[in-house]
Amino acid sequence: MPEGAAKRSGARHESARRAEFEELYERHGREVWALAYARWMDSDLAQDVTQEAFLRLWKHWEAGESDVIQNPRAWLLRVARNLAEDYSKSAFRRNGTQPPELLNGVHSKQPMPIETLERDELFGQLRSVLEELSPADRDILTLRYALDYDSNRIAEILGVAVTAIHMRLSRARQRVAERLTEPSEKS
Amino acid sequence: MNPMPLPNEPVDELLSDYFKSAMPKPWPSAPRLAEPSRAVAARTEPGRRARFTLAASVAVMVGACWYFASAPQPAARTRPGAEPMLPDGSATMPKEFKRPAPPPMLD
Repeated sequence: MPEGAAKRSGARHESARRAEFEELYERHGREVWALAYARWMDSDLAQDVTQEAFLRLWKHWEAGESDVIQNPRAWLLRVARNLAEDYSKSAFRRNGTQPPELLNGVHSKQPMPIETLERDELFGQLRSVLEELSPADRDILTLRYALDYDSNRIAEILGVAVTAIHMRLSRARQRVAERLTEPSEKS
Repeated sequence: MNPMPLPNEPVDELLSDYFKSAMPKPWPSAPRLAEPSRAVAARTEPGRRARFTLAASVAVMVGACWYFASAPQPAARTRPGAEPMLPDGSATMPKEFKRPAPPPMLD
C-alpha cells in the first residue's frame, strides 16, 4: 500500500476508534461510576476510577488488544471494581481521610439555608446506614436509585438472578427505612 | 437507559435524592486522549530524517571538492632543490640562508 494511503487509512481507523470510545463512555460511564461509588460512597473517587478504567481500555486498544476484549462493558465494570478495591490497599485510604467539608468539623463560613442543613443531616444519617450494608447491596441500590435501572437490568450488570435482585433490593430498602426511623422511635 | 418509575414512598424518594445528588453534574466528558505525538509520527518513518541528513552531507562534500578542484593553481612551481625565486624573478634567497660556497679544491 502506498505510504499516503496507509496514513489516511490509519487516521480514519484512529478517528473511528475515538468515536467508538466516546460512545462507550456515554453509554456505560455512569454504570462504571455507580459501581465505583457503591464501594466507597465517594463521588470524586468514583469519578477518578471511571476515568482510569476508560483510559486503560483505550491503552488496550492502542496496544492492538481490542480483539482480546470481547465485551468492553463487562471489562470496564471489572476493572472499575478492581480499581476501587485497590484503593482500599492504598496508604491514602489506610491513613484515613474525610471529605473536605467534614475535615476538623470546619464548615463553610457562608450561612446555609435551614433546608440545606436538614437535608445534609438526613443524607449524613442515610450515608451511615448505607455504609452498614454489604457492598453487594450498595451496588443494587446505587444502580436502582442513581441510574433508575430496573431489576432486570441490574441483574444483567451484576450477573445475578432477577429474583435475587428483587429480594435484596426489598430487604435493603426495608433496612434503610427501619434504621432511619430508629432514633425517632427511641426518643 | 431503562427508567423505572420509582414508588412514591419516602424512603425511595430519599434514596433517589441521595444517589442522584452524588452523581457528577453535569456528567463529565470522556477522558482526554493523547493526540498521536509528532514523535510517534516520526517513528512511523524512521529513515526520513536520516536520508535527508545523508543527502545534505553528500551535497556539501561534492560542492567542496568541485570548489577546490577549480581553484586557480600557482603559476609555476619550483623544482625540489632549486633556488626559490619569486614568479617575477626579482627576489632570491636571502644571503644568510645561502649555503657558503665550498672552498677551492687544492691540488
